[in-house]
Amino acid sequence: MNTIPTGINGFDKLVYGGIVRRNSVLIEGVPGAGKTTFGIEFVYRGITEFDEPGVIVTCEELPESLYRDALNFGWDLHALEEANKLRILCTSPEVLNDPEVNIIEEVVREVGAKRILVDSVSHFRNVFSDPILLRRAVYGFCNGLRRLGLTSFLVKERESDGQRDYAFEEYVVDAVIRLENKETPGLHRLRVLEICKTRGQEHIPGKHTFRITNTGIKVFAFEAIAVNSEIKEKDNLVNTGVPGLDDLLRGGLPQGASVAVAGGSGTGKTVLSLQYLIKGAVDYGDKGIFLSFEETPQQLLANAKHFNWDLNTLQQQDLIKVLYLSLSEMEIDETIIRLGEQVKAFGARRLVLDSIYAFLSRIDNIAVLHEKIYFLVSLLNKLNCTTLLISPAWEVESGGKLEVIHSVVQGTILLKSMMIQNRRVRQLEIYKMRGVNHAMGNHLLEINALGIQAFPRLGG
Amino acid sequence: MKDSDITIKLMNYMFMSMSNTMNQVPFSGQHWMEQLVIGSVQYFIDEYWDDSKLDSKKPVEICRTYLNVMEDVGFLYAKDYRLEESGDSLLMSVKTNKCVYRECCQRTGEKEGLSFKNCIRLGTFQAILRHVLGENNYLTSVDMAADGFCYGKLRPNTQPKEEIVTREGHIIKMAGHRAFLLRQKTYASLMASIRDHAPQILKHVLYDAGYQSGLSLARKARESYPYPKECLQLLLDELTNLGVGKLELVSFSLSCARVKIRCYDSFWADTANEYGHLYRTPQVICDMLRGILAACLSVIFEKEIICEEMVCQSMGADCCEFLALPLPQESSGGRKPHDPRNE
Amino acid sequence: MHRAYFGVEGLDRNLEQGLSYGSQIMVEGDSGVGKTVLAGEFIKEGLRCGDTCVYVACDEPPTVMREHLLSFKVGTPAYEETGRLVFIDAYEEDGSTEKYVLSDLRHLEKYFTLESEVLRSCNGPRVRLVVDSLSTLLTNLEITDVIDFHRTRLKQLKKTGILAMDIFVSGVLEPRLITITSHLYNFILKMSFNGSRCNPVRQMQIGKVKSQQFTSSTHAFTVSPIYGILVAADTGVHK
Ligand SMILES: Nc1ncnc2c1ncn2[C@@H]1O[C@H](COP(=O)(O)OP(=O)(O)O)[C@@H](O)[C@H]1O
Ligand SMILES: [Mg+2]
Ligand SMILES: [Zn+2]
Repeated sequence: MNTIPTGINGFDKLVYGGIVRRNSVLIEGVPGAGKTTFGIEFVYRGITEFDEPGVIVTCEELPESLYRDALNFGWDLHALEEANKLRILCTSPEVLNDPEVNIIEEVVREVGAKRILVDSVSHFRNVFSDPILLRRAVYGFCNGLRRLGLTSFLVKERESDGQRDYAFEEYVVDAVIRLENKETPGLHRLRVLEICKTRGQEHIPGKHTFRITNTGIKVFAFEAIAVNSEIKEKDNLVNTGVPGLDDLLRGGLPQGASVAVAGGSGTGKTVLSLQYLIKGAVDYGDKGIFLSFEETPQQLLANAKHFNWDLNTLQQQDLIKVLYLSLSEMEIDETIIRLGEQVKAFGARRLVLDSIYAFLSRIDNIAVLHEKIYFLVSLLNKLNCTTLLISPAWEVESGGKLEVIHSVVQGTILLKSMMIQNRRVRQLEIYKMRGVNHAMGNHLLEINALGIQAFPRLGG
Repeated sequence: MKDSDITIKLMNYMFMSMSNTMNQVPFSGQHWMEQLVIGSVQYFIDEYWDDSKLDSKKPVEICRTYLNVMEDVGFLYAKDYRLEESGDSLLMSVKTNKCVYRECCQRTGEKEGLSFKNCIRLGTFQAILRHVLGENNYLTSVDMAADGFCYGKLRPNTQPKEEIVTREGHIIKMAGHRAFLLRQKTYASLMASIRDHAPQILKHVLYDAGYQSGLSLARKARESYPYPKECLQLLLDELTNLGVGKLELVSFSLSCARVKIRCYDSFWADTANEYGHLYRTPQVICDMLRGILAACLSVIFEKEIICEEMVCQSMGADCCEFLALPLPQESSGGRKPHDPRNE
Repeated sequence: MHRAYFGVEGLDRNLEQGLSYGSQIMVEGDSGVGKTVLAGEFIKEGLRCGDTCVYVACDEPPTVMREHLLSFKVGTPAYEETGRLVFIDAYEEDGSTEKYVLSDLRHLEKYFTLESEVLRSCNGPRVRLVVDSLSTLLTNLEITDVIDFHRTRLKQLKKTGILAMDIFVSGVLEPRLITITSHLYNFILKMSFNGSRCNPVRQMQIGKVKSQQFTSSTHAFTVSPIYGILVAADTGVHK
């Protein structure tokens, strides 16, 4: 199949490499959803990265804003025009649909264009009031583009996010991309895109987050990861650095596993996780990343200092990286994708995510949550990065969300704080660890000046 | 000056031969070597010495006069020797290649395993001092230094050396006290006998006996050698000469009173290897030497030192090793056996 | 094959082949009868034989054992400095100046972890361990926990070839627990006071579990400040 990569960061993963050549793609969405940027980037990347000249047809009043907006992303359209790689056609829908005037064909031949953006086909409605005529016009227009060998992006305005209107265009074109700017729990606006149809090829369904960055669009695509969430190599175990815990795990954590560390506040989750990273770095030379949505790097540094762990030096030595994202800034898909990129770039063998609550609080839909967590866990498994996911206490009422997490991860370690004979005692239980014949039951856990330590219960 | 003189050469050969022979004498070789030198010097004195030539009876003057007499007879140049007083002691230095006895010293010194080194020159001083001052005894020590000089020292000694064994008719004496010789086998049967009759006391007997003998040995040495390390070295040499084994000082810390000593071929380890072990399992057995060393070190450091045998040659080690440390201060003598009647 | 003895003549005489490293000794006795003195003898003997000795002090501070050994002319500093004698302070809990301190007596797993750590760090070929007294560690605990602890620990000690002496003070633990526990040991020594109140006599009963059979003999003994434990000849007291 002859496909062409759009060149838009992350998008091509959604269509397994690119869109079918000479297909027409409809981009629809409310104003401000990012349709024009999407379309311009398609043409721009074609010229600059794939040597496919392009044409931009706009029916908007003044093209100046187009040049200016493009320049904000560092795309110099004037220069491309001067280099005869690009033509920008400022016209009206009437002219476009005048069979006598073959204006498009002219410019396409001038530069040998392979890509075209038409912004927007909504204006066709202004010319044809009769739906049948309108449909025929659009159909003919698309066919014309195809005949010219063009792969086209057609922009279509949508009045509101509400009920979908009758949209014949969707039947006429080969692919439809819908852009949304939607509200999420926690009053966040989130840019998402969904590929509603692709003719002649496969795509990854569902809503994908994207961001308009200062270098263009970045789609946080959850590409399919071929993983078995079971353990890859049985004898590849990762030492936790927590005395006693490795004994309970019969050696350590399975490499590449994601393990939830669940417990109430003050049960020692952060200390345990810090120790996991620090001992990993110091004793085993493993690089590690601590991604925090809760404590700031300063707080974590101070926390580590209590135990005489020099997190600062480890950071300078490039053994540990502390990343902080405030809850209000983080976007889930973006966080996951960027985390994967960082794990890869840094060469991290260990990761701590403090805490998964950040995900729970954003996603209400259980199925969506499952999808996200599953992707995260699979991604880290593929990257062979052994991960601790700090999680709220087991008992917390979460509407089934915690169960989703515990069902997806390879292991769950529960940290508890109990009253025994009028004394508060910390305990640790390995609730599950796939592929490991771990010790069962509650074991004493202690935090002292040297860190956290588990004392395996005697008698097994 | 008269290097070529065959008589000097012959004289050196004679002293070399005597020195070699005395090294094979089981006891007091050094003592007898000194006696040989003193005896031969005495013949010279009888013929050439005149007490009235002395300006004073200070040891340094006596020795200087003696050198002058030797020069007068054409045997040496007195100015080659520097003499000075240092307290009770006399220090002598001479450029080694100016000394007529150098051949003897150098050639016996080259031989390994000689347990003592004699400076004939100092021996002649011992002789003249004894002649003039009577029974006054001097100890000698010499160091052939790398700078080409010999540095000798004479110091008064009031005590006979422990290793000096003498016979007066049927009486044998060690350092003036009566003694008798015992074969290892006899010693072994003595110990086996103690073990059979009273096994629990064996270690205590050996340790305490060692401690007592170590005390008198060390007290005597302490009078002549006030410097702790020097004193210990002398004691180890003396014990080696007595036949307990070859003792070696491994480390010595004056400030911590911490000493590590090794003993090669310990008499006791050898006895165990030769005539059987005294205990059920291989273990350290040189309790007597442990006691001796503890006593010596307690005297030297002037506080109670406790000495442990960490490994023993009888257990297959290359040597026995002793580690000595001061008794902890706070010790109150341990727990008392509990008496239920007091309850 | 190395064999070990107590270092107490009258007792060792009864052990033809001695004890093998990896066996466990249970010493049970009345308070004040001489269990700790026996422990001292056992350690003295171990030090002479080149063993590394670990003493867990539960009923008195470790220094009491140090001074006890010193009173028998054993220079503990030399052995401690060379790592041949190690003390675990299970008495002070807080404010101990010892290198190894059991800070929490309520959890047997913590004791087990500490003991294992200390034993692992002993680098000599043969190790003796004395816990004085283990019964103190086992008070106020669930019987099932105690038995689990025993099984796990003794199995481990056997596996690692440690010669262990566990001291139990009579009357501290339930008789049932003592009975169950005693089956886990290879060698049992009971020490007690006999005779009249005005003229108490110390006795030890040597019990060995050998191919499921238990043989025993009783001996009178005294405690001497110079010689330690002195056992009367075999013709002594019989029950
Ligand atoms: N330096 C320390 N020494 C002893 N205990 C500490 C020390 N620092 C923290 N703790 C204990 O650890 C607990 C904090 O654990 P932490 O890992 O922060 O809990 P969380 O599960 O909320 O992350 C506190 O309750 C405190 O009792
Ligand atoms: Mg926390
Ligand atoms: Zn020895």
